[in-house]
This record gives sequence, C-alpha cells and structure tokens, in this order.
Amino acid sequence: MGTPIATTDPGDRPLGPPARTSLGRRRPVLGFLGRRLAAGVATLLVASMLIFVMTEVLPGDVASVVLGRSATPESVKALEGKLALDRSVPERYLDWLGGLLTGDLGDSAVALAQGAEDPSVASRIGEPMRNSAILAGIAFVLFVPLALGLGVVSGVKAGRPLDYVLSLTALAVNALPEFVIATFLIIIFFNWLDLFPPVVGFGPGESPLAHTDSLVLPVLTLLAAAIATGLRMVRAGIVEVMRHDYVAMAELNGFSRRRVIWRYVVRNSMAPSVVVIAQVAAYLVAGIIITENVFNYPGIGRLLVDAVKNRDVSLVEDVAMILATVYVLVNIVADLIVVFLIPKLRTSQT
Amino acid sequence: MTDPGMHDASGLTRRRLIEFGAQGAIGLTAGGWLAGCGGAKQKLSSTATPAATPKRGGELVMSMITGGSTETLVPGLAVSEPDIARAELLFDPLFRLDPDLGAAAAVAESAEPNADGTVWTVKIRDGVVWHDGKPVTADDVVYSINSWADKKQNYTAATIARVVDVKGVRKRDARTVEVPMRLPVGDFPILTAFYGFAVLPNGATPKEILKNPVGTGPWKFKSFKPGARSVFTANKDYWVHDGPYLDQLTVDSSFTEEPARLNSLLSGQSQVMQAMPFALARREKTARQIKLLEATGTSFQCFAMRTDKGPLADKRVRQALRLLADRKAFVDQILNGFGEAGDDLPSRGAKYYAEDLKREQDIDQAKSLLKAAGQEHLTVRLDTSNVLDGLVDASTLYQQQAKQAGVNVKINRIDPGTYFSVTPGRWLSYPFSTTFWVNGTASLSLFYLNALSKAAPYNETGWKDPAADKLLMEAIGTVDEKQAQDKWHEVQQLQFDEGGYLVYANQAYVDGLAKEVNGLEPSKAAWLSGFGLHNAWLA
Repeated sequence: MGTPIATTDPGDRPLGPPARTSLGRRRPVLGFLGRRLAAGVATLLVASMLIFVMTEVLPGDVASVVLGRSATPESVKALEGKLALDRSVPERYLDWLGGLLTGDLGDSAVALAQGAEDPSVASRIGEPMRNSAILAGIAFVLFVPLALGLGVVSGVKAGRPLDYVLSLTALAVNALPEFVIATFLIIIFFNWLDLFPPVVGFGPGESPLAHTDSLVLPVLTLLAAAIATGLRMVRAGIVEVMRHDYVAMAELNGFSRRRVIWRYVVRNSMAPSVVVIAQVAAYLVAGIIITENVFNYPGIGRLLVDAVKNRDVSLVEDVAMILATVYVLVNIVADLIVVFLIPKLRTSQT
Repeated sequence: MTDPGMHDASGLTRRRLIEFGAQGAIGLTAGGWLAGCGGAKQKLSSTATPAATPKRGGELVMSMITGGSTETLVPGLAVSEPDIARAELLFDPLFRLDPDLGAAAAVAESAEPNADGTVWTVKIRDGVVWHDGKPVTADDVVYSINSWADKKQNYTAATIARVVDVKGVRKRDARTVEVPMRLPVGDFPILTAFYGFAVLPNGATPKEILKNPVGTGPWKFKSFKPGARSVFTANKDYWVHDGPYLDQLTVDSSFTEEPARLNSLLSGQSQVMQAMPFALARREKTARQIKLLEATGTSFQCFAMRTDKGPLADKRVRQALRLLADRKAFVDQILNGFGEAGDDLPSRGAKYYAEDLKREQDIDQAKSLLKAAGQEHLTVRLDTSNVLDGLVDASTLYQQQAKQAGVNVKINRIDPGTYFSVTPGRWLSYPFSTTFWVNGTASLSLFYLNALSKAAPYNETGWKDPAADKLLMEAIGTVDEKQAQDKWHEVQQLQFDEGGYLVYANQAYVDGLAKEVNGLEPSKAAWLSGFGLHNAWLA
C-alpha cells in the first residue's frame, strides 16, 4: 500500500466487552456498523419526539387553521375527529411512530379537510422528493471532485497567490447566506448575461431533467455554498498532512512531488475530507429548503414551508422525519467510508 | 354616489394605465385608454388600445402567490387569490362587476323587481352553454341559489339566505327564474355580482366540481394541482366575442416569494403578475421593464374597533382614535402611493357610498373626546399581523400618530397563519385589530350584510344595534335610486359617527404585465380587469 499511516495491527485484541467482542472480534466493521446504526436509531427517536412536540406547539389549533376563514364549529369538530385531535398527545405520538415503522405516513390534514380521494401523505411527497433528490444529487456529484480538486490545489499551494485567491473567495462565499448567493447568481446569469432563467419554469408532473436550464442556478447556488465550506476543510487537511515528517522523508527519498502528493498527502488527508463531504451532503438536506424557495423549485423544501404555513401537521412531521433520516444515514455512510479508508479503524474497536 | 373625481373628463384620478413603452408615451396611452373606456360601461369586451385589433392565439402564464395545498376549484369555498381567480375563469355569476362597479349581465340577461322589490325575476341569457355544450337552464339557476345557501356546503355565498327566500325560488319557464325575497331588495344584481355566487350546473357537488369543474366561464378546465399549476383552454362558445383571444391560460400559483414572481415575469416565464406588492410596483414604475395595470376600487385597509365590549365600547374613544389617524401618511408610506385616503367608511367607490363624509386628523378634538370619556392616558392593545404585506407597518405608523395625543398603542403581533382563524382569542374577538377587505366590497348591501349587521358572519366590530339593522334593511330594500341614496346616507352617517371601522385607505389593484400583453384595462372591480382575462391578447 505504501501508506505510512497504515501500521496495521492484524491481531485480535484480547480486551473488550465480552458481549460485543464475539462479533466485534470476527467482524469489527460489522460491530462498528451495528453500534452506529443503534446510535442512529436513538438519534431518530429523539428527533421524532422533538418534531412531534414542535408541531404541537405551533400557534393556533390545527383544524380551524386548516379549514381557514370559512371554518364552522361543525366542520372544525368533524376534522378534529378525523385527525384524532381529541386523543392525548402521547397516544397520537405513539400512533404516528407506529405508522412510520410500518411505512404508513398517515393522512394530510389539508387533504382530509378538502375531502380528497387519496388524502395520504405518501401520495403528496413522491414528486417533491424526487425533484429535491435530483437537485441535491447533481449538486453533490459536482461538489465532490470540485471541492477535493480545489482543496488539494489550495492546500498544496498554501501561502502562494493561487491559495490566497481560492481561500479568500471561499471565505467570502461561506459568509453569505444562500439567498444572497442566489441573488448574485441571478443578477449575473439572468440580468446581465441572460443565460439562465431566474426561476424554475416547469410545472407538476414534469421532470426537472427535462428542463436543465432551470436547474443551473439552483445547482450553482447549492454548489457555491457547499464548495466554500468543503474547499477550506480539504485544504486544512492537506496542510496538516504536509507538515508530517513522512512527507518530508518521502520527498528526501527522491519520490516525485506528484507521487508524494497523490499517494501520501491526499490519501492520508482523505479521512477528514470524507467527514467534510458527509457534512456537506447533510448540509444540502437543509440548504435545499432556502434554495428551493428562492428559485420556486417544486421540491421537498417548498412542500415543507407550505405545510408549516397551512398547519398540515402530519405532512410537516413526516417530511421533517424523512429529512432527519437522510441526515443520519448520510453520516453513517460517511463513517463507514472513513473506516474503509483507514485500515487501522477497520480492525480496532472504536 | 361615487367619487366626483371619477366623473370628470380625465377620469385619471382613480384609474390609470401606466405604460412605459419604448417611447414612454404616457399621455398617448392614457388617451387610448379613455377611448376604450366609453365602451367599457356597456360591456366587458372593450380593449385598452382601440387602435390595435386583437390577435387570436397564444398562451399566457399568470403568476400568483400560492394558497398552498389548501387551494380549491370550488367557487363557494374560494379563500386565496388563486382560488378566486379560478372561480372567475371557470364560472360566471348571474352578474359580473364591470370596470366601474356596475352590475353587468353575465349568465343572467336581466333581473327585474316587482314594485316593492320583494320578488325579482331573473331572465337567463339566450345561448349561454356549459363547457360540455349543454344550455344553461332555469333548473341550474334554481339549484345554484339553493346550493349557495346550503348550510352543509359552508359556501361564502351563504349570506344570500338572509335576503332571499331560498325555498321559494322557482322556475317559471326554461329561461326564467322567480326569486322571492325575505325582505325588499332594491338592487339584486349588484348583490350577486361576486365570484362566490357562481352559477353551477344542476346538482353539482363540491366533490364533483373539484374533480371536473363544468362552468360557463371564459375558460375551460384542463388540469389543476393545488399550490402549483392550473391550466385552462379557451371556451370558444363563450358569450363574449367568441371566447378568449388566447388559446390557453396557466395559473402558476406555486410562488412563495415575491422577487421570484417578478423574476419570472422579467424572464418571460410568465406574462402576468397578479397583485404586485406596492414596493415592487413603485420600483418597476421607474425601471420601466414592464407595464403596470393600476386601479383603485373598493378594497380597503383598516383597523377594526370592537363597539360592543372592551376598552373601545365608548363611542367617544372610538371617534378619538379615528381622529388620530393621518390618512395621507398611510397612503404614502404603507401603500407607496397606490391608493387613496379613507374616511372610516367601508367600500368607497361602491354605488350609494357617502362621498361627502370626510375625516381629517384632529389631535385637539381627539384629546378633548378622550378627556370627556375619562381616558386621557389611554393604553390600548392593537392586534396585528402581516397577513397582508404592510399591515404591521401600518400599525407602527398609527402607534406613532397616536402618541401625539398621549395614547399609548401597544402592538401585539400575531402569526399570519392563525390571525384569521375563527377561534377564541383570534379573529372576530380582537378588541382592536388590523384588517382588510378585498372581496365583497363592491356592493354596500353585501358588505354590510357580511360585516356590519347583527347577524353578520364577519362582524369584526361587534356592530349589533337593532335600530341600525332596521335602517340597513330599509336601505337594502329601497328600489327607487334617489330614496336609496338617502337611506344609505343615513346608514353610513351612523357608521361615520359611531362605527368601529377606522378605514385609513383604499388600496389599489396593481398588476404587472409583460409588454406584449394587451387588451386589459384597469378595473375598479378587481385585479386584471376583473380576472376574466378573455380580453387579453398577445402582440
């Protein structure tokens, strides 16, 4: 392998909690995964409680808000019955949680109020989720090589003019909220250059992929915000590794600079970079909410804002829970990648 | 009487079409509009630029602020602006408001009262057909009136049951319906010239309408997704100039942000921006990238003071609070000039509005009234919310104005999502609050029945005086125009002296149009020339 950090410890460790060691000893990665999953489930359980309590304390009683200005005492009562609002909070929480575990997301309060044929939440979130996944997915796929490439260049050239330009730009962009970045992009690419539309121009039932020009500015907004963070972290990792003696040793041993950087420096700075990439992926989950609203992009972020406004509580809870799950999964996957990248972690009991 | 300014030769005090074409030919455009206005009073089909012949064909996208997933196609349940727009596009009432707030015949050809206004005979226009090709019959109209009043449906038109003897409505022949009243009604057409009174096919339930709305309106239904898009095709059988000039119309009600809507218009993804925020409109007036369609009608912003209980039950205190308002400041600062000062009376511009009752800021008189009421150091809570852009700013402005008389107004901001919920502690129980009226203000009868009578469903000011109710019913029931004018003056004088509304301004309807959009003239009835859009055409 040639990676100096790989001080592989092939032997089983004799010490460790007995209950876990059998699995952990034979398959340390599985043990690690098990523990991470357990922690993930615990996190989601706490998240579910918080989400439920938060939607409970939103001002106004749900039925009359959902029914709007034309609510009557009778219709409010009827809707409260359908939403089971007459039952206690713990009961409703357990009901909702049980439904989630069995894949039943429940009914949208608004759809019930309107007497829709299929009031299920599931029927309402498919298309927005797909749209958001496309937006975040494209941004992510472009982000990884760009952040790594620019971060490596910046780190290797640390202290040189190119590094200053890249780092300072990243710092500046990083300080800007998404809607400001979006506004700048709109001014440049629509008002001045007239290249891309400043708002999304497709309707329900259409795929964003059929309207790629509409995707450009939302993707760029997410990308700019993400790269600004990613670049600086990757650069920091590279600079850190560059300081190690083995890098100097390798260079003194006569390895070419290119070989030293790619095989020694980059490889060893990967672990923190993966964590950064995971953080950015998780950021995208939140970043789409603002970006979607600026560009009027029909995704899950806009659905969430609408649901909060209309007190469509079940929809808010489900969407928030889905976003939380994605967030936790991304972090678990990132942890696993780190484990695979650093052989030491693969065999030891972290 | 309407504002005398309306009747002067220029007519430009209240209604302006401001166009910033390449030549910036404002005078020329105004002249063109005036020429078009002559025809507007007789029918709805006049165009803004008479020199140009309307072109047929093309599509148009109209952007609106979203009503979210609660949007509907059922006219009687319409709440958000996209709902109202769709009701106006798909359906027709018996009468529609014309640009000068008169009742123009729509599905009805005419409506005639008997001598005392207790029975109105409605004649259905010959040749009006549903979108499926069937003719509109008296049965449809009888059903429609019944469904408006049906308590189970909870339609906004339910007020009609207070004046119409719904059970007694009957068909006389295939095209004639007799509408008996519970009390004399002087002007039935204007009372029903409102989107909530859409004429529905016989037997149509809300569920059926939501699935496949069949109306008589200028546009036929193609598709609808709440909070996203609805698409309509031209109804070539429409009774005005063989239907809309355009082939297709899309209502994009997916917008949550105003700048996104403006960007959509500027980038050509939409051609019509309904209800532009005043600040953006002010900017676009100088930016000159788009046309503005602007008219001040009967829509107003106000504060509602509870007259029956709480700190403002003393009419001297209410009068004092009214005298503290500097109305011009509201127009300039809150409406960016897009509107007119109010005089505490609802529905300025409507027929029989008491134009002679004026109120100006008078701090000294306010102080002496407060002193007389023993409230020299009055502290009062003002409930407010940005349900409409600028309402909180308006409250802050009033707070400053009230300080001059030593009145301490404490602003209480409430979440916009629940501000208009009819629950204890919310709407209809605020002692002193900001509010506004956009729809249902063009007819004094309809507005007073809805908001200013004992049984009014939206009685924000708690106005319950039996004597006032009696006077109101007399005014509604007066057929003779001269007498009706006098009666309505009495009704409004009482409101002016004792009522709970502090109407500080009438707000304009302002729309943004792409330069290629023609045919829409300013209308005092609503945005976009009354929403029908059958007159719109693309250059």
